[in-house]
Amino acid sequence: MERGTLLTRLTIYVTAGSLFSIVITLGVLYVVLVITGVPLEKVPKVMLYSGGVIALAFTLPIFFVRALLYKLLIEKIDKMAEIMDRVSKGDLETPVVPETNDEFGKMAEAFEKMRVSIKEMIEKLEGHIDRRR
Amino acid sequence: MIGGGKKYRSVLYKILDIVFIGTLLAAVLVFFVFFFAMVNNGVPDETAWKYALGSTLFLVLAWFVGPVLIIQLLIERTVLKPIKGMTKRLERMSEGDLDTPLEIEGDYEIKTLGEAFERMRLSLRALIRRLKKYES
Repeated sequence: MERGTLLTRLTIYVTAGSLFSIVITLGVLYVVLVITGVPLEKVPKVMLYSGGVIALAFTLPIFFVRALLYKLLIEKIDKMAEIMDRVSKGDLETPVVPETNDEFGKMAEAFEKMRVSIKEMIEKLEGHIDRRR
Repeated sequence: MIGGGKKYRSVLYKILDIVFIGTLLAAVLVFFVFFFAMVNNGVPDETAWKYALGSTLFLVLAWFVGPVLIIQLLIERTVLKPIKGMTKRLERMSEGDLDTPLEIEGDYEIKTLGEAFERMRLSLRALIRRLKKYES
């Protein structure tokens, strides 16, 4: 199984968004400099320095956002898949505890309800079979 | 609710919280960069102040309407929609419906999760069917 590919895709989205933000920010800076009458020969140099600062400020958080997305989304998805594999191997005994109050917590809750109801169903059927013997 | 009485809150809002703080910091930085870019080149303080504030407000709006909104939408579509779909199927399964296959489109981890879901559904169904056969 390939790892972290969904994260790569989300990182690409975030990077594209951040590049777009840099471009519009510098665009606005250029317009403002021209409107306020900064001498035209000085504009490129100012743009270069300010552009450097802005570009750095917008690209560094990408790594942070990536870590956040991993923690909030990918880790939870992997964990859920792990739990499902455990159940398909026949382990219906281990309870699933929701850890968060978001979509994944809700899913864990639904999963726990399903586990309990399937377990009860199986116990009922096993009871019927035992009585017959 | 099992989760200790915590109120339901979408992952998107959690991400938005962080993005909001980040945007505030970026706005402050952009304001000062704009201000000094003007002041250092002979624009009077009052004019520079006004223009820097105006363009910062405009940019914050542009960041939110553009990239932030689109990224949130993409996360919703690629990750949260399949997760919600699976939650619904899990609820149906707890009502005893083990026969409807899961129909979820997704890539990478979501696909893996969907496959794990189907494996689990089939293995549970096989188990229940075997028991029902013994019973009758």
